[in-house]
Amino acid sequence: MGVDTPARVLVVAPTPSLAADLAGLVRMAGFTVTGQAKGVEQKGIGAADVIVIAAGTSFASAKLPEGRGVVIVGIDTALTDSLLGNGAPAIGTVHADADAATLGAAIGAVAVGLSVRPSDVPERRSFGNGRRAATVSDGDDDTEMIEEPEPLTARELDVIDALAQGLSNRAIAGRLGISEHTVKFHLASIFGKLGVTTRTSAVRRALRRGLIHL
Amino acid sequence: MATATLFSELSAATAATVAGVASHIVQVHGRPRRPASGIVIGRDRVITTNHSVEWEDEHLIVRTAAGDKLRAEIAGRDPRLDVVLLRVAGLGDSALAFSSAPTPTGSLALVVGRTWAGRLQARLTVLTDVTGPVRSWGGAPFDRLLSLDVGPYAGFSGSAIVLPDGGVAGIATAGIFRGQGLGIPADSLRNSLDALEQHGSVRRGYLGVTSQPVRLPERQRAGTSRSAGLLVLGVAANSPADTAGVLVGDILVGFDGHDLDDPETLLTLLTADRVGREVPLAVVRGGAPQQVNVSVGERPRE
Repeated sequence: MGVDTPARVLVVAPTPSLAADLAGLVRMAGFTVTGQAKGVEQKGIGAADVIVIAAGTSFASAKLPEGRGVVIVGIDTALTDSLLGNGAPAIGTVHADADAATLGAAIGAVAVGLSVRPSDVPERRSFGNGRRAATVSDGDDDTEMIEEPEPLTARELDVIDALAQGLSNRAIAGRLGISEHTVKFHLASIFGKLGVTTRTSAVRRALRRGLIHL
Repeated sequence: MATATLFSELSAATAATVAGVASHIVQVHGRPRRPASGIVIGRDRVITTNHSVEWEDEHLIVRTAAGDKLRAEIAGRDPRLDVVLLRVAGLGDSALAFSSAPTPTGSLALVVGRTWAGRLQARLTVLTDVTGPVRSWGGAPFDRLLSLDVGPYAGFSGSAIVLPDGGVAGIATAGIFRGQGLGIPADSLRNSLDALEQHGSVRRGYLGVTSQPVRLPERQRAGTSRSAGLLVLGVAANSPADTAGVLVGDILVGFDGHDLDDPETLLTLLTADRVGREVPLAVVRGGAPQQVNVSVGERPRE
């Protein structure tokens, strides 16, 4: 990727360890990290050309400085809508498990004003159906609410608990007295509800939501 | 002339080392179109990386060096080390051994795996021996890792990191820190594989709490520098946390001397060696620091 002056990047994530990991990826992609923060209102924003935000970062009260492109790591439609409503000129979305090259490509794109997203993620044009977006939306009174995460059933909680222990599908089936096919059915439902595609990210997300006993 | 001789000797030696392990380097088909490499490490046993067989497709297939396609099943997963043990009937007795040779930073090794097309591939790497704690993508600390100056590339995950003595120093993985070629060292693998062979999972500690990560405003850090913690949402009845007096609403900020800012960190710290031990839990309760000693239980297994 050949930009003359590499973009300077502010990394924002809900936890310091996640911010550190993201900053590592950003550096690996060849960009300069101006700072790591828990919210976009914090210091370091002045020098940044692009802001990289982890999905799940609270954005409720933040104001986006003008003219900064944003890359969201992970799928977070509420955050996307909120950024659109706050006037982000270009928004990049990459999957949570994006590698340095993918993240770097997205940073490069938004730095020059292009919005990018993975081919399997639908485009979000405006702020029609997000609760947070509704507070900044004026004319659009679309009442559809899709923000509440769908709760997991008791059986799905049993399955995610077993996943956290690293059990295989067969072992989970044995423990719960159900067929492997049923385990897969539960997994697909859990993945859908949590918005993930892998066991590892399902466990991670369930942990952060407080669904797994440790 | 002397240089040329050294070069040719090195070349002959690396080629011979690769040839020596080739028959034990297999291909694992666990994801559509993206096969991983695998290492034969025991009778009918193959290890590969956990993330390479995420979905457990109906047809988990191991393709041997001879080209035979064998059905594989999962004997056990260790998500922490990103390693999975496969049972592959018909693979036979012959296996690679782990090396116990030290691997100080600067040691040379060969990363031997299979391309997506199934061809043997080898890359020479200079190892960086990283002693922990090292944090991964999810915030899970590692005691030790081997950092490679190659990878990831197609077929990288599950490749054997082979030392000049022909022994396996570790397994290559792209699943711990995306975009970075790392190796799980043999000594970590040995413990894990023993547990997987016996129980199908690794032994884990248990407290009995559910929690969510929260930020601590400066005023509420109770005199510590910790800016984040785990807000306790639930305490299971009669669990170790319950017995120790952990309350819903407590904010856990430290476990056995380690900072807690993510539930995954706590998951990772609940290691087998802590089971049965009394461990100090640093808590912020009502804005005041407190220490609760909890006797770590064992997470029930099969």
